[in-house]
Amino acid sequence: MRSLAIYALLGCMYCGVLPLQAQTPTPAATPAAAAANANPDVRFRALEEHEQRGAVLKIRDQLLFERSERDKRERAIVGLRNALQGTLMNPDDTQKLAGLVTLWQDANSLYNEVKRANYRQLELITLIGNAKLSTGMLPQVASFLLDAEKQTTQLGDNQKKQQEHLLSFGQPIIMAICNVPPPRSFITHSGITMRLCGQGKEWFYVSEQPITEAQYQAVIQPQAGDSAKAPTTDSPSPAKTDISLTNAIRFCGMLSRLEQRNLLLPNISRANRYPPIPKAGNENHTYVLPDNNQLNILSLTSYTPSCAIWINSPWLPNDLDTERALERFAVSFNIVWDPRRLFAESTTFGELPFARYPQLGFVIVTHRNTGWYLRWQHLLDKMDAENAAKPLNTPE
Amino acid sequence: MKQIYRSLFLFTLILTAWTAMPTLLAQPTPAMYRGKFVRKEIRRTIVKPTFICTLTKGASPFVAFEFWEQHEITYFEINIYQAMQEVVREKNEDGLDVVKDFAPIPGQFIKDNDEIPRQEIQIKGLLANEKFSILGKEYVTDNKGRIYDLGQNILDLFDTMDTRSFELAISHATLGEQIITLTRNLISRQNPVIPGNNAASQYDILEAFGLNFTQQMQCGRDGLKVNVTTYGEITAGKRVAIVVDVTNSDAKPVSNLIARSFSRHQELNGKLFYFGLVTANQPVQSRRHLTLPPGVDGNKPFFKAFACLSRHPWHREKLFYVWLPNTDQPARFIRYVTIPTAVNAGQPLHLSIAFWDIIGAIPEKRQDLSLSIQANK
Repeated sequence: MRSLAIYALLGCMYCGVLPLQAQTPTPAATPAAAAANANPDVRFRALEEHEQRGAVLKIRDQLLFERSERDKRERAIVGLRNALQGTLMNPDDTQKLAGLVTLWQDANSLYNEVKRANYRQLELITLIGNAKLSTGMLPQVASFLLDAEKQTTQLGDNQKKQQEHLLSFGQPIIMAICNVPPPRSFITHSGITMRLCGQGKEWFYVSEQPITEAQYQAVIQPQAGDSAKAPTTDSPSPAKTDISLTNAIRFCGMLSRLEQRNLLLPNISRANRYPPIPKAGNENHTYVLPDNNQLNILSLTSYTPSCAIWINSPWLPNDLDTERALERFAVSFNIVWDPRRLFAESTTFGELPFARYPQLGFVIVTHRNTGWYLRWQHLLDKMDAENAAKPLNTPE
Repeated sequence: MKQIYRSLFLFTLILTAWTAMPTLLAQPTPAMYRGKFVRKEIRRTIVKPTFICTLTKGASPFVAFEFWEQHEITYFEINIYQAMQEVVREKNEDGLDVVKDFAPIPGQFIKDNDEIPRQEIQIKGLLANEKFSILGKEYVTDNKGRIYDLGQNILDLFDTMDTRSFELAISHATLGEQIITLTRNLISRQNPVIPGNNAASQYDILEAFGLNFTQQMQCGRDGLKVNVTTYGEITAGKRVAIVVDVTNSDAKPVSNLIARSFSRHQELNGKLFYFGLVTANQPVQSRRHLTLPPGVDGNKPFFKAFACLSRHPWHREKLFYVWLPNTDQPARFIRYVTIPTAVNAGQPLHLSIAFWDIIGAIPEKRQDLSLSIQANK
């Protein structure tokens, strides 16, 4: 009967029927403490025991939860390592990239999980600390609290290690992403097909064909919408010939500005959802005429343009007198590469930059990073679209 | 027999005595001494016909030679002296000569045996209608004894900028060969370091063109204007003229101006155009116009004489003609080139004419030309 009365009184106190000191700042004082505070000489032993038991249970549940989360994370980290090995073996570069990006995202979210676990661990330590302050603890409760404290500290150490593992995991993923070779070919926003040429550090892209009349007009005089894409027609457009070196260089400048504008816009909105790639600089995404080094590489391959093409390197004469005259009078000749000998001369000769011929056109080249970065951008666009299509998940 | 021998001996004796008699009886010949020099005597003469060649001025843009016949005469002369003899002025009591003197022997001279050669050049006259061989080609002089290098082959020799002189051999079938050293001095200095050095060469082609390539201390290029035109049919294998005109409207002269053609075709590449000093409003090749009212014959002696004397502008009302120095005539140089034959009709030919003066290259004045080859008719 007496116990029943005490429980009823406690119930009333919890429901707030009796006036209690409700302005107590956080943490809210336990009912037993509140009663003791109201009247320090009054102690409700059972209430205190109940509170203690509640706190201990909470600590126990929390500890169990954190331990299971820790094990889950350990398994996830092992899974990430195995997945990385598997992804690196993928022969398809685009799939490899997608896999690496997903791994990076998983590692990132795992890292955030560890950070949240860190906060929870601190809360748990506070709980244990508060519980230890209670008086009249049973010895087994006290030893439990001590043990829980030790385990919580161990959890903290473990979280730190997991964070370090995850941090060190991110860098190899980014390195692996950067080491994925550029695609063999790509199509610019202006519709020009670029083909990879060369080897190793000498890789670069060259337009598959000399720039056509349609492509030239599309860039020099873009239609409404500024897409600068050549209209598709049934019959292939002829190569743009009868063009001077100066105009060819001007075309490259305009094309570069158009292509870079298309590269810049999507970049800004990506924030931290994808790994930061150092190749994102715009200085390598320009389109220019090939130089002498690139000509040497092209001439060793099976690349044979349909017309003679301009090379953006000065032509050096064979005799010293002409060389001196060129220097004295500030005149320069540029190299023309004519692999099909349309000019009935050697495969390379020098010509004045303003010259124009019906058999002389131009091709464009760009750094290998351009193709790499375009593929990267397409991948991220695709992943953004996929993410946008997924239903929203309520975060826990 | 004895009598015959005796007669013979006597005969010989008498004969010998008779022939020796004048010698024995003759007076001894007096010794002759060389006296004063009297004259030279040409013992023999050798005449070698040859020719001389000079550069003609005022034939720009062609190098022109003028040929004169000359004789190289070599006179072999000997000296003639007075013959002197010893004369006794006084004898002593014993009949011995005590005072002697030298006196000329009238009518007697002593000739020196040593021949002294003396050369003399005699210009005989212009060599008209004569054949000469220059650089392996035959040329015939005109009626003024001149040969014009219409093919500009001499100028081609100097198109290499490092070539400053060239030894040109000119030969004639009978008059022999001459070697002249042609020069092309692109930079002359006003005060040469060593007097006498760097002086204008007699065979400098730029001097012959009347061009001034003396380096100017103060010069500029702000007022320089250039123009390039072509004359002639642009057909494969045909010759066309590339004409470069320059004017200067600035007070500062342009110094040592030259131009050069650049093209990937060898026939059009590397031709030098010479201008030298280009002053403001004063052309290098100035011409003068004589403007006469209609009906007046400018060939009349009165006008010709007056034209020679007067160099000042005359007001039209005072005198019925004016003397106009032509200030708007540009400095001009012409090079003749052959259109390459390896290029098809309809194909363009590209060349640039670039300029250089004493300050350096003038890239902003470069003229770019595109010529379209016409089909052969």
